[in-house]
Amino acid sequence: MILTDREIHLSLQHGHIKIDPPPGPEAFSSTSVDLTLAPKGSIWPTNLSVPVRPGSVGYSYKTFATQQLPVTFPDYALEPGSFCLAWTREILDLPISSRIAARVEGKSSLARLGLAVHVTAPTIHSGFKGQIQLEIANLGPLTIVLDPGMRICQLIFEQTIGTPEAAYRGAFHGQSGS
Amino acid sequence: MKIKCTDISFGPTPYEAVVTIGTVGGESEELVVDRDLVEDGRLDVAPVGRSNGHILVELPRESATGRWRVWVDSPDD
Repeated sequence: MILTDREIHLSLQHGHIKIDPPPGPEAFSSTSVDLTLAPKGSIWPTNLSVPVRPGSVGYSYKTFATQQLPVTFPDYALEPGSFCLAWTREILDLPISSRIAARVEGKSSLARLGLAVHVTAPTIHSGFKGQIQLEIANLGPLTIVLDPGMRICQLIFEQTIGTPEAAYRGAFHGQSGS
Repeated sequence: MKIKCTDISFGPTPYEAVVTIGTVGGESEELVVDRDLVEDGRLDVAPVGRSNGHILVELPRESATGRWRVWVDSPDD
């Protein structure tokens, strides 16, 4: 079940959901909370000659990640067809005992410009803590300039049935980009 | 609760309008809404909070700047 603004407020008050810095009252909608863009991101260079083969034995994301180039908003402009990694300014903490998971979703005001904020990976697992990585793609025909602090995505919170066996300890736990 | 629109123009479909409303601090928000929500130049919104004489309202749709909730002056002001 999706949490409404009332349940989100209660969850924040009781520490079942932690957002730092805390969202202001205008960041809420009936069933979501807006998060904002951190000032730094990164891009993949377009001249990498080695293909990435994530299914191969010994594949290391870290090795490829060293190829990323840092960018700063709003200096970096998203040209049509471009892609960058970015992060939310806020740190989200979903204690596993809270029985709450979340999904990061785009905003219609940006979607209508052709801006996607994740690439098929919206799930924020119960137990997650960290800034949320955004995989931003400009699918539209316009060049888009993003400003740090702007509303970039929204979180939908969902109650889990039961408590997971262990806290989320995946490779991206505590992911942070700035 | 209804708040005054400072501008109303045609929307992307015949059933919609693009409206502009003023918010606290002299800012404005533009959003596309169902035409039925605009009556006599006023937009139907939902009050969700109040502070320092201002009212936090939820807009019927996300505004162009991505906001669902904005602070407005009391309609009586």
